[in-house]
Amino acid sequence: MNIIEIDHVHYAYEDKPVLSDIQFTVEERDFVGLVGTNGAGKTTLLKLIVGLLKPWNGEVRLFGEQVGKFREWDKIGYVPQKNQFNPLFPATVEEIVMTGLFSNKTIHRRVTREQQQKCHDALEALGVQNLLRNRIGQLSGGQQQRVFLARALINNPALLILDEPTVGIDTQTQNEFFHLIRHMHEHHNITFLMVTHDLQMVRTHIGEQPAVSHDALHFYVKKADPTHACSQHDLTHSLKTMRLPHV
Amino acid sequence: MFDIMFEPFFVRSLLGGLLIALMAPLLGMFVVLRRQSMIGDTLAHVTIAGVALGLLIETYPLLLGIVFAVLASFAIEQIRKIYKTYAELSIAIMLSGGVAFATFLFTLGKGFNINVMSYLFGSIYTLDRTDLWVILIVTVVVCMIIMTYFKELLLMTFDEDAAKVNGLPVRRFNLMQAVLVALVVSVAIKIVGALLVSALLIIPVATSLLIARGFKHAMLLSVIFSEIAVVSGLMIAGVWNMAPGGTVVLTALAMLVTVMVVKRGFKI
Repeated sequence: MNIIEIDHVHYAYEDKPVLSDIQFTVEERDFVGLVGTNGAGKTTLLKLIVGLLKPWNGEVRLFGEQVGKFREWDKIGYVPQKNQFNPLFPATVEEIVMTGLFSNKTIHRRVTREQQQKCHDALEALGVQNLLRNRIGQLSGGQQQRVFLARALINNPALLILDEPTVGIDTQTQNEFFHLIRHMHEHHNITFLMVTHDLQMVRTHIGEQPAVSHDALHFYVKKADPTHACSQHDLTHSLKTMRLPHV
Repeated sequence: MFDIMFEPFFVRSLLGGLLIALMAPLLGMFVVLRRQSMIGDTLAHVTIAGVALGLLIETYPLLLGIVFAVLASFAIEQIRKIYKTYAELSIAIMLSGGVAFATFLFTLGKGFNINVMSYLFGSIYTLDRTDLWVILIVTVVVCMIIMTYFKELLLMTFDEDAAKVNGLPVRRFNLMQAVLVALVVSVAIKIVGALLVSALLIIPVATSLLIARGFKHAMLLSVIFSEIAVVSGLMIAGVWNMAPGGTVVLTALAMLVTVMVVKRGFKI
C-alpha cells in the first residue's frame, strides 16, 4: 500500500519556485529520510505532505486519499522540532502527551481513566514515566524528544513524521533514539518519514545512497525486512519489553 | 462607610466582577501564551466605538459594543491572512481604526461624553440587570467552550504546527478564540473600563506563570489572582468612590509584584 504519494508537485512562494516536478512514493513500512540543505524545500514539501500548503501543480495523496480530503489524521503521529516551542510553557509532560488524544470526538470529552492509562503506558514504554508531573521546558533535549514521541505514539499511528529529530541532542541520545526507531520499524507496521539536514545521520541509519534526488532534495529509503513479521503486540507493550534506560 | 457594599448596584457589580474574573484569565491564558496579549486592548478600543454609536443612536450600547468587537475579531483574522509575516500588524490596524471611529463618534455626540467616561475607566454604578444577564450568558458560553475544546486549545497554543499536522482546523479555532476574547472584553468594559480591560486577561495569567506547576494549575492560580483583584478592587472603589478599573488593575499588579519578589527571595 502507498502511504504517501507525491505526484509531479510544483510549488513556488510568490514568483520564486521552491519545488519543481517532485515525484516520490512512500510505501508501507518504509523508513524514508528526506534530506536537504537550508532552503532546499524540505519544510515546504513537509507542509505540502500534511496539507498545510496546496501545490501549484500536481497532487499529494495520503493513504490513497487526496490530502485536501484526508480526514484520518489520527493515523499520523508527528514529532516536532525540539526548538519549535516556548521553553517557558507551563504545561506538564502528562498534559502535553494527553493532547495527542484530541481526535477523540465525543461531546463531553472528559479524560477517561482508560485514556490516562494510555498516556502513562506510552510514557512508561519510553522510559520517562518518572517525568509525568515535570514541566516540559525543564526537561533535557533527550527527555523532551521521548515525551514528543510518546505523544505521537499514543494513537498507534501508521505513519510517523519526525521533523529534525536530532537537533540539539547529543550523540548518545541520538543513538538511543535510532535504536528505538529501528525497533519500531522492524517489529511494527509503522512507516517513517524523517525530515533532516543531517546527511551523515541518514547515511548511518537509513542508507548510503539516495533512492531519488530532485535538485537539492534527496530521498533515502530503508525497506522493512520482510522476514521480520509485525508484532501482534500493542506498540507500547512492545516498547516496554525493550526496557529503555531512563533519560 | 461600608454600607455601600449592601447596595443593590454594588452587589450587581460584585456579581458581574466575579464572573468576569473567572472567564477573563481562563481565556487570557491562551491569549498570553500565543503572544497575542494586545488583542484584548484592540478589541476594547473597537468596543468603545460600538458603545459610542449605541449612545448616539440610543440603542443598548453594550450590544453594539459586542457586535463591533466580534466583527473586529473577524477582521483581525482576515487582515492576518493578508500580512502573514507581520501578524501584529492586523492588531495595530484595528486598534487605531477603533480609536479613530470612537473619537469621530464622540465628537458627533458631545452630550454623551460623560457616559462614555464610565466605559473608558469602569464604574460600579452603571451595571444594570440586563448587563448582568449578558455577562452571565457570556461566562457560561466561554467556560463551556474552553472545557469542551481544552485539549485542542492547549495543543494549538503549545505547537500550532503540530496541531495543523494532527488535522486540527486551526483557522477556525483562531477565529473562535478571537470571538471569545471579543465577547469577554466587551462585557467587561462596563466594570473595568476599556482602557484597562485587557489587564484582566493578562496580569493574573502573568502572575500565575511565575509559580505554576502545570497548565491547569496555572489556570486555577490565574482565576484565584483575578478574583482577589476584582473583589478587593471593587471594594476599594466602592468605599473610597473611585473608578474600579484602576483599583482592580492596581491590586492585580500588586499581586504580580509580590509574587515576583517572593519568588526571587525564596528562589522558587
